[in-house]
Amino acid sequence: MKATLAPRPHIGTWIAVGVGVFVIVFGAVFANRFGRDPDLVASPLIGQAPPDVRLPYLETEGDFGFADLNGDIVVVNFWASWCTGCRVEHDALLVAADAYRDAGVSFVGILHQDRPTTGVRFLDELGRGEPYRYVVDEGSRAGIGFGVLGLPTTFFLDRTGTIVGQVNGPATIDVLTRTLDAILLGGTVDPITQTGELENR
Amino acid sequence: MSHRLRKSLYGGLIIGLLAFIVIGLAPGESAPETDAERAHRIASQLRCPFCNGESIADAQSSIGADLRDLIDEQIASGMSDEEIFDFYVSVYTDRVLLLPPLFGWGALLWVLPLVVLGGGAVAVARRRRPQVAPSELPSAAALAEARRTVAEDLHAVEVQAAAGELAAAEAERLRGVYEAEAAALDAATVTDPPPRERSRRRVAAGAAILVLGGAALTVAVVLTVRDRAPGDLVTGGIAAEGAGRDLSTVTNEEMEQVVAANPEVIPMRLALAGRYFEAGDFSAALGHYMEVLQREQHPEALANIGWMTYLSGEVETGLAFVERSLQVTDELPQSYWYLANIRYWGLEDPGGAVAPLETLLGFEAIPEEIRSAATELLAEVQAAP
Repeated sequence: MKATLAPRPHIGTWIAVGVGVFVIVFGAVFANRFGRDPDLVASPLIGQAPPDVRLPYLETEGDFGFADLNGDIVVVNFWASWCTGCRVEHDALLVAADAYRDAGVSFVGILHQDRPTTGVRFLDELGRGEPYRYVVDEGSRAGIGFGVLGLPTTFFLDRTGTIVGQVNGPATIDVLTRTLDAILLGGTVDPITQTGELENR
Repeated sequence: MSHRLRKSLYGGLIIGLLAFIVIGLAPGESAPETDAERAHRIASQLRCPFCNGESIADAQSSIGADLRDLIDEQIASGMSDEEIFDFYVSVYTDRVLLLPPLFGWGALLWVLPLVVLGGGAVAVARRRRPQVAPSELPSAAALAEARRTVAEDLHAVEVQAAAGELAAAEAERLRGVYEAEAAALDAATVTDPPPRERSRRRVAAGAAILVLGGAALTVAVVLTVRDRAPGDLVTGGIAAEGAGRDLSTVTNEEMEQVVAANPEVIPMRLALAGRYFEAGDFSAALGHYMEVLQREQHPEALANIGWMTYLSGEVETGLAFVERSLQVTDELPQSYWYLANIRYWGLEDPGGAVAPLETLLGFEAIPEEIRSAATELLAEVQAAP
């Protein structure tokens, strides 16, 4: 008598194979993601306009909005007095502000998650940029609007007012000049540069 | 009922039950949400981007408080849930969502449990069937072939025995063996289950249907749940108090706009006219009731127009409208109330008021104050000379 049906693998075999494949794929995904901070991804703000917020000046009357700087290349630096990375990058920012003064580059320092009094003390201690706009992020509206995930974080706006680059961690003079030169020459800008840890209070 | 039909019915039943369970478990909301509740719900569905996985609602940090303030502001500015979620996703990517997204890879997280559940159910169902080894499952052709062989063997024994080529004892033994074999084959046709021939293609198709059906069901259920406004019906049955759009929160101006945009929709116009009527704004009510009458001889419109006309001093005209409403339906209690009052006060005909009042009191579902007023008036008209 001929067997009319080919023997089939038992259903248990299929389940075992399925579970095995699942575990391997899952493990691979996990292993691949380990060692990488999932927070550190480029802001979805790259290619977008900055948020439409008005921010009071830290030491003078009046307030600031990004529309005030139409046509300028803008470096937007989020900082706070409690942030050690902000101390590290402070000199680089002052030097760059001075170096690119005549190239139509404006610097805006946004005091984020900090009190104005401690912010002013920080500037008294480490010095102020010139020209440099220091403003206060009241209610964290600017930080939220830029999708800031920690300090220090620096954004670059091109002349059209579009966010083209972001630095997570302390900005260095190397990163600042490379990025600003690229924008000035119409070259491509790295959308994200990771220079160190982001800090949160 | 064919085996296959019964199986599809069972499948449908299981999927239906699952759908019921999922929809039933989904949190329905019995009362309209306040802004604060809405803000808390939204905040608890968003991850505070740098607070160790806490939701914005739970985050203790000052940025958490700022985020909560911003959500309050966004709600106050009239943004929809969708717009608010979209804003945070646009700024922090969809990692900000505590619930996985419904599309893309996130959808896998919604669908996978159902697929595993379905697969498990199928596996269990298959295991419970009697397991018959393929070799024990002769096909009809193989069975017939075997039977013919046995018959031939039996025949050969008879021939050989008749020819004296077999000893009688040996012939008897062989006959016994073959006859037993034939009996076994006959029995096999009766007791063997019908051979199950399921091709791999059918198994694959079944699995595909299960997976796709599960996915479609999940997406449908989640979309239903997500888009459901507070107070919507969840499982059918009795509407929660204040279910749907609570009309009491809709202003007359809003209703005017809706009515103007949808002149054919009568219930909203009636409700609006009823409001004006209750408020004593008869000229506004009259306009809407007349509009209704142009489209439909609606008894409520007729009765209320009649009552307003009567109150304006036109007794006969008012009476005519009320009587017309009673020609359309004899089930509108207020028509009897108006008729009785017009006959008694307007026509000074107490006797004529008795019948409508008695009919009115015969209705079960009338407000208590109308019932007591009608009882009072009935006593009055009966006492009248």
